[in-house]
Amino acid sequence: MNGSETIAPILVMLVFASVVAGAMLFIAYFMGPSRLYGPKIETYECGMPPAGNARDRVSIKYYLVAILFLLFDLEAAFLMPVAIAWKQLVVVGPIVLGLLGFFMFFFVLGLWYELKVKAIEWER
Amino acid sequence: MSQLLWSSLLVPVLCAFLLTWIPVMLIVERRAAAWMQRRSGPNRVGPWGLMQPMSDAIKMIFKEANIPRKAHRILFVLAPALAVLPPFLAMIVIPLGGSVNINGQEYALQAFNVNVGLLFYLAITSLHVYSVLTAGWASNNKFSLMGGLRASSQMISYEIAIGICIVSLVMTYGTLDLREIVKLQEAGAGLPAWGFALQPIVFIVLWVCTFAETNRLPFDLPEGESELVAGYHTEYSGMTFGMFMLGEYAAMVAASAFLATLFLGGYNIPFVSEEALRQVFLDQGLHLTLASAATALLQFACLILKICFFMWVFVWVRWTLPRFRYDQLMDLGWKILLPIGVANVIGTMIVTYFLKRGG
Repeated sequence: MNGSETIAPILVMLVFASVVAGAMLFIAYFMGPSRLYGPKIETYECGMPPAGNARDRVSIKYYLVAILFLLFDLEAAFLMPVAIAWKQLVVVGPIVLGLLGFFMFFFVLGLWYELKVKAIEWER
Repeated sequence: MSQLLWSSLLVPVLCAFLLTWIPVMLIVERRAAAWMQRRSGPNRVGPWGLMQPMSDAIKMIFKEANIPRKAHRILFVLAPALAVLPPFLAMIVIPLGGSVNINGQEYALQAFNVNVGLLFYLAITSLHVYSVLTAGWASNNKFSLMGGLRASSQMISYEIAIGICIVSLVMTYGTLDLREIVKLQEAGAGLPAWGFALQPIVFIVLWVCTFAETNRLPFDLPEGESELVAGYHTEYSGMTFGMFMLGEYAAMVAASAFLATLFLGGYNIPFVSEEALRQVFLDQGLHLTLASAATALLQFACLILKICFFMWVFVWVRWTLPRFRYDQLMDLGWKILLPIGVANVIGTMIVTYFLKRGG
């Protein structure tokens, strides 16, 4: 099996799912009535005239969560190959346990530090 | 017949399978809600209100799809499509049943038989964040933006817990191939070999995270209607709104199938192995192709039952638990589920090490 054959099911599914999504979008925008004017296409703010723009600055907390996500997800990704080979690795001896323990120590250290500096406290 | 043609034939079946769940879940959810709240629920359209999803769909089709004046038009139109795609793509790695023997060759009942199925599923389902964030940002509505931001930060927070839990699960199974994982759970031909007995903590944590990933109650902060009108889909109407609903239910089906595959033995029928079942059909005088097909279909039915169980719990929990507050949600993800996951990885690491070294 060459490369293009291997990923072919993904492409076939992508085409099918796109057709489903595209058909639904077509239905949405061409089957119903389309008389868009005036207050109907204003931004919905519970009936009040919309005030200002929504493209404003957002809380820095969201960026922090995103950065922490990158760090921890990367660490999980680093662990994945070790996890697959773990049953073969254990025969090597205690050194493997030590090395992974070393990695996990820094993982836990990072997690502890993140909780200590209250990086994800939302009350303040 | 080539393996490729077989997979391509399975893809439309899979699409139909996923789409069939949507109306069923619509009526189940509404009737179950009514039942739990001592109401009647929708019972007027058709016998016992069974045609209600049909009339909902017709109504949605002929409703006006609104595009707000200030919205980013391209992204606004694209976002519902992005919500529909990931669950469909994620489903192709789920093994639906055993293999069918055609002319002496075994064809697996799995559209995309790949040795990194577990990672493929995680990668594809995490794309769901894009649709929510795109919808929230493109609407140019404050409620939508808040909903989108909340959703994205909630989903990525719980994804870390999922990633860590998957690590300890992979340590137990030693493979990322979902088909292999299902085969491993068959070994005992009974309940004890199933994943939830091997990694009970991972099962619970992953199950909780699934609720957060699919934006279902008690984690439906992104669309918390008491504070954010409807969250990221406030500005969507008619079929575009329906697409978000479709995406959510399809994601629930995919997640249920994923959980069933990892923890409830996938397509395995309890206490019956694939060979034994096939032998039963062969003894009835069936041709090998027919016998294997019948076995695979029975296993598929068993997987559907397991999916039904998880789907029912989705509905059950929705009408039982109240919604979390936002800081409680983040605390649960980062301070409870993630440390549990890490502790479980370390525990699994040590236990597997001494089991292997000792035995």
